[in-house]
Amino acid sequence: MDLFYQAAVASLTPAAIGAVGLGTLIGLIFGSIPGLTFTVALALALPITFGMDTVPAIGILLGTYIGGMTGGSVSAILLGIPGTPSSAATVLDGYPMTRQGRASIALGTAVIVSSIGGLFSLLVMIVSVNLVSKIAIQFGPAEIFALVLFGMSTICGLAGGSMLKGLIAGVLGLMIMTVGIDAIDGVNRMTFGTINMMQGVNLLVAMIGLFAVPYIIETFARHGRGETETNDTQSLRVELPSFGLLGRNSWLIARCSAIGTVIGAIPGAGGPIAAFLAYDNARRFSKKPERFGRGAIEGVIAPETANNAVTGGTLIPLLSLGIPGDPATAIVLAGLMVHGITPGPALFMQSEVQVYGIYIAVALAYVFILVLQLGGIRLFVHVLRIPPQLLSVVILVLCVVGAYSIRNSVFDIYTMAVIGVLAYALMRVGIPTTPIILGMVLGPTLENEFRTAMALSDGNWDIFYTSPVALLFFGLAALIVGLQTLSGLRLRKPRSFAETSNA
Amino acid sequence: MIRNQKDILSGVILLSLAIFWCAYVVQSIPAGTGGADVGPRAFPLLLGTLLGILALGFLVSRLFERRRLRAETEAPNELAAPREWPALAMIFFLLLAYGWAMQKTGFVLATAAVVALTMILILRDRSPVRITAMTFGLTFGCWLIFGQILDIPLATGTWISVG
Repeated sequence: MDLFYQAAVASLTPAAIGAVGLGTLIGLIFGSIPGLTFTVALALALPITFGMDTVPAIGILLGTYIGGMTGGSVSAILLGIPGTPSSAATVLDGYPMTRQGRASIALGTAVIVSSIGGLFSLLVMIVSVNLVSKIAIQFGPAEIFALVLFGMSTICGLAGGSMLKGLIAGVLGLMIMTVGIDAIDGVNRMTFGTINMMQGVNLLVAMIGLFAVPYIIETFARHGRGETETNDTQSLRVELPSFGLLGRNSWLIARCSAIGTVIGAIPGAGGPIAAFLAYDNARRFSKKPERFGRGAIEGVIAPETANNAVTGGTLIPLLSLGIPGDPATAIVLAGLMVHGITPGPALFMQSEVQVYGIYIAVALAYVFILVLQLGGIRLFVHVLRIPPQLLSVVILVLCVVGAYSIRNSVFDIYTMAVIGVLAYALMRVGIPTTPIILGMVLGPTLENEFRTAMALSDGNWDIFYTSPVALLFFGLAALIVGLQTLSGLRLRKPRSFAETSNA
Repeated sequence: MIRNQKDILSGVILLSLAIFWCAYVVQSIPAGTGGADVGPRAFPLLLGTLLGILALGFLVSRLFERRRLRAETEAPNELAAPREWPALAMIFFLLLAYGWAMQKTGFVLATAAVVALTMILILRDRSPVRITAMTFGLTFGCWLIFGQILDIPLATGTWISVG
């Protein structure tokens, strides 16, 4: 209890509360702009935290993540364009509601159920993280290697339409992280004799390149082709749903909260899947399923509850096992590590106060979402009117500031440019970028744990197959790859442009 | 370029990358002593080999699909049109120039120059007010927020530095 009190004291300072508020605002703004996901927001917000104390820094990151997940609903409801992939299902009934002149109640309901879903998942997260950590703390190098391999298999399989392309992307990410000085033997690897390459490719630089630079290229290319997007939105206010409406849908909200939390806890699944599953669930169990797609409020409640419940779910494997479920949480992971917090089984032993701080920051972020979205909806309406090409100029400068400030190195700007252009080219040929980032995040752990396990066992491979836990994770990895192959064979359909993010 | 041709080309590029990667790994990274010492070469070599196998598998699957589709008229893929390449090249060189200029003239001057160039050359904006507002507003805003408020070190130039 003392530690929780310490965390509360640290997390409830004006600076820490302000940081959560700022992060939530950044997330809401980025999330509400179609094409500009909160993954980009996180990559650009991370350098802002470098000069901050740990608790406010975590507050900004979590605020951006949670705000971004919620912000997508604004453009989904008002324009019929999802601000983030997670809000794609909200379009189905949210936009018809706007056309019927019911945008205010759709937005108000989305905000309220988003907060309910998010807070539900926070409670599940608080119970689960400690429990999973206690089990995972007993893992040795072989088990951790198997666990990370399982995480990789899940993510690569679910990253895009083609498992083969997902695997190629995952391997590319793993390869990038081998560049630089080897952590165990201190040998130069793939440095081509240059000093700058010895420091390796910084994860954050790569993330900015992978997610922000392709957005800039795409926007400038569209502008060059004369494709101008005018987001014609009118001023409006948010109308809160009545208690009667929430009461009638309480069972639906509970179901969708559970769906979102469970899906979120599975690495690689993420918001879009949770939202569509919840939407489908709501329609399937509705007494009037024919109303769905024509402006049914349940069609907004279900996906918005679920996609926000994902936030707590994804933080369970992130905090307890150190496995990020999507690119956004991969950036949160990198940010936590920059500030000396290493998510994983030992997290509670090393940084218990900060973990409680994370819980408080998540709860605060939902309070800010309520305040900012209910009070400041006009701001988001104005944001949607900013021409995307001008926004891209701002993002270009932010990318350079972010890449440079990580290590005060101009070489990192060049690295970001190369990675960004290559990422765009890969996306053009249908190779998704999500597995690349996961490969980069999990790669060093995968290699180091494998080599440590082999050293511990004197080179005997039996360390991997005599551990039931390792075998379980290997089995799960094989199962995921098998299922993905099977569904890939069944649903062979061409995909020309890879998903940039599942966030 | 139609999608299948594009896939075949990307398969060939990835396979070439894998072969080059493996050759360079073998040539430049020492192997482990064997047994318990896995060594620094093992993982990069394994990954290069994996990429090669996956790229080959991808290439073969696309070649078979091409044969299957030969009789059919495949619609040109709208997204595969090379119209984005000028934007891609411009952004790439702009970022390289930005980095170089930051080293020589510092963050403030480099940012102002890059923003103005982007507005005029890439966006072909002809509004002096918008160009001036974006150039000075963005440069000053970033300098103020990052350099002064957040105390994040911004690049200083070797030739000249402002701010």
